[in-house]
Amino acid sequence: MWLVAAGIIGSIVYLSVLERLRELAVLKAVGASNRSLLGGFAIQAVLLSAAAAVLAVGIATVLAPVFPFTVEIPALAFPRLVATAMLVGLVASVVGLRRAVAVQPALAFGGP
Amino acid sequence: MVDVDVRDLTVEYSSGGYVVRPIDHLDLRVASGELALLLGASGSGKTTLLSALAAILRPTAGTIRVGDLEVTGLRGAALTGYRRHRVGVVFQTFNLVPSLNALDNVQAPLWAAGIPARRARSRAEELLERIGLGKRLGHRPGDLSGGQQQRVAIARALAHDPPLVLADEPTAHLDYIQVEGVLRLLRSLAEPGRIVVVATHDERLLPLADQIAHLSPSPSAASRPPERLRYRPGQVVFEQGAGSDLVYTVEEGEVEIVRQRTDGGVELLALLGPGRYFGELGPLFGLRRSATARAVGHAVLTGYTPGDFRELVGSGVGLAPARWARTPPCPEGPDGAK
Repeated sequence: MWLVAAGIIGSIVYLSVLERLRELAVLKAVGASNRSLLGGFAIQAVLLSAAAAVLAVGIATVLAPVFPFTVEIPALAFPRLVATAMLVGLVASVVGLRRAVAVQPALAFGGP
Repeated sequence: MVDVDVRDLTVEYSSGGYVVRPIDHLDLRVASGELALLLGASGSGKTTLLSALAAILRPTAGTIRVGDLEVTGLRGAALTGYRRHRVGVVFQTFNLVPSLNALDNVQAPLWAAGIPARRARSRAEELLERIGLGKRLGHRPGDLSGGQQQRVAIARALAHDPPLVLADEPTAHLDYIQVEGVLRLLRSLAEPGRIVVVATHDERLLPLADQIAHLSPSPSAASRPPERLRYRPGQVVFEQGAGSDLVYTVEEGEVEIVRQRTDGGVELLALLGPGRYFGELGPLFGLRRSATARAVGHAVLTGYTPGDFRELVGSGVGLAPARWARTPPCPEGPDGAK
């Protein structure tokens, strides 16, 4: 279950970075450094992943009592979920960004 | 003193799996305070040259110097510094960031350069006001018309007051009143200490320029008589990416038409014997050669200027165009090579 959750978060973050290839290329062309792009986008990915995990914790807490069968959630599962989401979000965004910033901006615009 | 000095520049890149060379051994020099116009048809390399000047595309060979900087040798932080402080680009397709509003798009280069937020904002507001978009600051690119997006792109290129301003078709999406405003702005920017390079096929801009560079392959001389040419086995008639001058007919022997692939391989497009002609589209339409032609064994060809070739075909001589060995991936008609 953990692996599935991590896989989904990772692939969504990775693909969303690649979708923004053109945007990254524009920012590079106007003088943004690779480091600032990596930093900015990685922070976005980590915050979004964390927010999604916190939302999931909230929904799980609300839904658990109304489920027709007993749902036991270990106390450690919640912080672990948030931490895993943040870590996976970070790794996926950095891997995607490293690929995205290696492309020459003019080629990312669809060829000069 | 900022001068732009382009020497022996060649740019190749991959397009659809084939090698394209839009710029082939180009030399260009623009002095400080000048407005240079790059004229040429679509595909003649205008955008490619601007991309190389903006250091967003690495040339295959040659050098570009802007002032004391050799742009083609820049890497890492020096490259980012050049893009950040020395050059501003108005892209043909605007390339505004869709998630940012007009004001933030203009501020983006200022943020990258580390300008304090308040100064960046007032500079961006002042520029957008100047180009008539003072009431559209909060609009995202998707909510702006083509002309408005173009003006935002112009404001962004000028935000950090760069000494080199590059504009790719800056009048393409504007009405005539806006064109007048942009022309006046571009002309006023070309002052000592700054260079403006404009790529266009809009000939109305000609009187604006201090210097005009024609990027389309030059048309062949109309009065040149047909030439009978002999080739040794393997000798190249014309090279892929080269400028076009003559149309050829095969008199004796055979000529093969091959296209160079990005992966290093070559693809045989046609093998032509006597009575066939090839290479007509390039000189007729001012295009570069889309493939290489070379003699297979000893071959004799006749080279015609486009005008003579038209007369020859019109006279009813039994000539046949080249036939592709297989269906070409590009829609270029039935000829062997342009």
